[in-house]
Amino acid sequence: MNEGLIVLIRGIIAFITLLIFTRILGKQQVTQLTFFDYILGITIGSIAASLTTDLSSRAWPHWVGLATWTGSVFVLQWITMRSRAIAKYLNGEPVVLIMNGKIMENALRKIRFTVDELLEQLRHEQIFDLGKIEFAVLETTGKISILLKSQFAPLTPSDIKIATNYQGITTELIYDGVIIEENLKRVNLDRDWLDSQLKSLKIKSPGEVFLATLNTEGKLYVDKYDDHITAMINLSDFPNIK
Amino acid sequence: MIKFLLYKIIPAATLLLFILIMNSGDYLKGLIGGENNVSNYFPDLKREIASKQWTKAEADLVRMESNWRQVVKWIQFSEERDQLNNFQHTAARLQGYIIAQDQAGAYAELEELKETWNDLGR
Repeated sequence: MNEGLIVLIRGIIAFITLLIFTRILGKQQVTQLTFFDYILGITIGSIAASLTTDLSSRAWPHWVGLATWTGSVFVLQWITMRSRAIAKYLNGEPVVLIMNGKIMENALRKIRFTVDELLEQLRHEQIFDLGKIEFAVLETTGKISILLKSQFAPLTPSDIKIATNYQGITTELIYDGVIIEENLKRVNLDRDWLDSQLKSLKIKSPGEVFLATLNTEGKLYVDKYDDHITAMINLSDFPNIK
Repeated sequence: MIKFLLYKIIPAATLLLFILIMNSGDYLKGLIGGENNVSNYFPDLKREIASKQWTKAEADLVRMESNWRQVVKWIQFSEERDQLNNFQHTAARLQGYIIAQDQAGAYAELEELKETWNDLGR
């Protein structure tokens, strides 16, 4: 019996299983996770770790545990997608902490949230003056959403009636020196156009380019491998570390 | 079609392969060795211990252990480490009883060996 080999095989099984299961569960970002989602993640990870290294029991029961937890999360996601009432019951509801500029003390007490915690979260959102806030809502993810009083809200082009151009998602045309032909076709451009653009930037071949993107206004952004920067800003506290 | 293959078929086939590996112990333990499979030695050993043919019993036990080592190579990924070790330790104790020509002890260890074997993969 080779324990190292067993752990290696079981590790591969756990790793790939976890990869497949997390893809099944979707692409929720860490910042979007509720407290329950967070605990679920830890539990599933812990089972995967046991599956890898706990040789005192068979791999199968651990794998079944992993599948059970993932299946439960999937079922929960499916139910909450279909019923708003159940979603609110399971995930909780947002809580208004500041309303019309006034702190809701009862709401704070109910969710065991201190004023210090509220002020800290507001500072994270760059709010240092409570007088600027109209509404503050604690979301189910634990983050605070803030609506500023209209006189303190940032000015937008529509406020001063300035026309703006459409802005969409930029398209990657070259990545790591390789032209992405599919993306070129998608934006109705061809290789000749790209070559002429690169030529105008004194770039001889796409191989010199690390990343090239095209925005919806038709502007090309190009980053070459050779950045011509001789002295990098050193952020390290230690000497001689570059 | 490629998307279906990449996102459905390959993950499903991978999970199925893992399930088979993790549950293969019960099947593989009876397959390896063919006629010389570990379980085939139990009736012979029982008969030899009953008739006190100690030399023959010892030789059979050595052959069984050699076959067991082949079995372990295949079932180690699906079985408990403690159960695999337990089989080996029981076999070692059985050998001791056979050398000492202790019939009662040898019977007890042989029965434990059979039980451990039957529990593998379950």
